[in-house]
Amino acid sequence: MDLAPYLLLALLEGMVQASVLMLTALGLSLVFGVMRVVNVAHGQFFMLGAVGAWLCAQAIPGPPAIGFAVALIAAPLAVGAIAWAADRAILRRIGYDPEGTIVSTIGLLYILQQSALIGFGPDARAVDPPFSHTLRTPWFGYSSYKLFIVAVAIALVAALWLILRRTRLGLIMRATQFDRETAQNFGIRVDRVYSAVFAVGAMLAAAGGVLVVPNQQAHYLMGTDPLLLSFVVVIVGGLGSLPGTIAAAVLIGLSDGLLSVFFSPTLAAIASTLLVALVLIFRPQGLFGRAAA
Amino acid sequence: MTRMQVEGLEARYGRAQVLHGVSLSLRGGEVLCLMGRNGAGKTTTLRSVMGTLRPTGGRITLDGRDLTGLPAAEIPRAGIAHVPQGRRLFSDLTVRENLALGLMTRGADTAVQEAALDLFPVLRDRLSQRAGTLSGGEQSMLAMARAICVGPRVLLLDEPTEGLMPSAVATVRAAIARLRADGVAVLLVEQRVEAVLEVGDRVAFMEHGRIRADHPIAEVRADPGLLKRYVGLSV
Ligand SMILES: Nc1ncnc2c1ncn2[C@@H]1O[C@H](COP(=O)(O)OP(=O)(O)OP(=O)(O)O)[C@@H](O)[C@H]1O
Ligand SMILES: [Mg+2]
Repeated sequence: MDLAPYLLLALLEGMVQASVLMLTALGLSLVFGVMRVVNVAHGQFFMLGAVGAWLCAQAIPGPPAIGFAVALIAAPLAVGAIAWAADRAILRRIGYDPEGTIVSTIGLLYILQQSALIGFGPDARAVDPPFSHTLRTPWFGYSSYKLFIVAVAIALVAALWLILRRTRLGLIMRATQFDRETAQNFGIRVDRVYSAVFAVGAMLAAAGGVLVVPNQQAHYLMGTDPLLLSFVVVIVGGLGSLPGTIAAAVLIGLSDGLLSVFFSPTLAAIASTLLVALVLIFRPQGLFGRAAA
Repeated sequence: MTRMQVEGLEARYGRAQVLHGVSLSLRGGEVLCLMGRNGAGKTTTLRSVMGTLRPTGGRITLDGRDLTGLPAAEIPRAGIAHVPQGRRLFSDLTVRENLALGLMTRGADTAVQEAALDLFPVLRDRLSQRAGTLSGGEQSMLAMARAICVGPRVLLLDEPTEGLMPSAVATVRAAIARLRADGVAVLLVEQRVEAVLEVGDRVAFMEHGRIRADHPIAEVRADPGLLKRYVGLSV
């Protein structure tokens, strides 16, 4: 048997997985890094992005590409607005208390999930890909849309990177992450930074949701797996470390793709769980994180 | 004219009250030294003025404007800057970024930054270096420069020369003298008597969360018993 075609397919599938995972996990990591909030509702923002993409596809007539392009911008913005409101209405009121935020984001998870069930219904719904061109390899055809997912994810991560490293807003976020008290002493309004970070984190997940819908269908329960995998990535990559999160997403996405193609998805799930356990035991700061001082 | 007035400031950590009515007044172009034994409440006083710790009583005014109870982020906008104990630089960020954070309240006013760098020229060669990798002396200078970037009318300094070699100490003191000449009001927490005698105009002695005495520097020089009584030192 010739392995090369399988290997190529597995790598491609792994890259697509890794790209979406990278977006979701970066959102979770950013929120944890800056706000020290473990956002259990994060997967719901992913789900809302997917549902938003479906709504756009329904509402906008004409070729699917138009509805999709609108969704890619409008859905994350809408989800960001929801997250912003949730931060003001809930998290700020409890003073970002670590345990309190876990409990209240669990509550938020159910509110968002059940709202989706009521508004969107229990069925999985498909959205047409914006284009359905197939790339030919000598062995199999591959959807060019899947490669588009990878490209958009890379572009979004690059944009996030530039914002964090090159803009005033990014400087403010990094300073707040490093030492919120001193940041305030230099005039940074930390509460506004938190609202913005929570919204940006949710927008990253929502963008991931929009991107997977043409591949995977929208469903009100679809937020659970991305949340769990994001936690895996964030733990393996090191809490709050963006480069670590990116590296871990690629590592886990690829190994997931390889194991799923060559063995079974169950083995892939077992492997990532095992990896988390090993990391927690031998390197609790994450593979790429720095040890706590 | 009085620049900053602190009246009856009270503060607590949890249930432990640490400040029991601290009163201070500070004029422009004056260096007021705050002395007292470890744990007297000097750092707590500065943190309360900055709004980092919410005072439970008392009043703070700057040029007649009541700042009591403002959110911490508004205090630098009102014109008060802080060099905290232990410096608290953003050590993962570069020197340039630390200075940019100092400028946060004033847009990109590079003239202030230039003036700050003129006081500490060594920082100019290290703008792209991570603050955490600077030497101790350079870190102190950066903490001062960052606060100067705020363009303060009042500067709160909490042991800015702690753990420094004499040459770095001299640079920091020269900067304090310069700010004083420019009309900035400086509240300096300092343990070293010779530093107090060199740069101070007045000394306030603090004990158990209260100001016990407040004397012009000449009186402190003339009466060594003061230092002995409040900080257990002889000159
Ligand atoms: N974060 C805190 N939580 C609880 N108690 C604190 C805290 N910070 C300071 N204290 C207590 O408040 C009192 C005053 O401390 P503060 O740091 O203001 O003293 P200080 O005069 O600056 O001392 P030093 O000369 O050692 O810097 C001390 O008894 C200290 O133990
Ligand atoms: Mg102190």
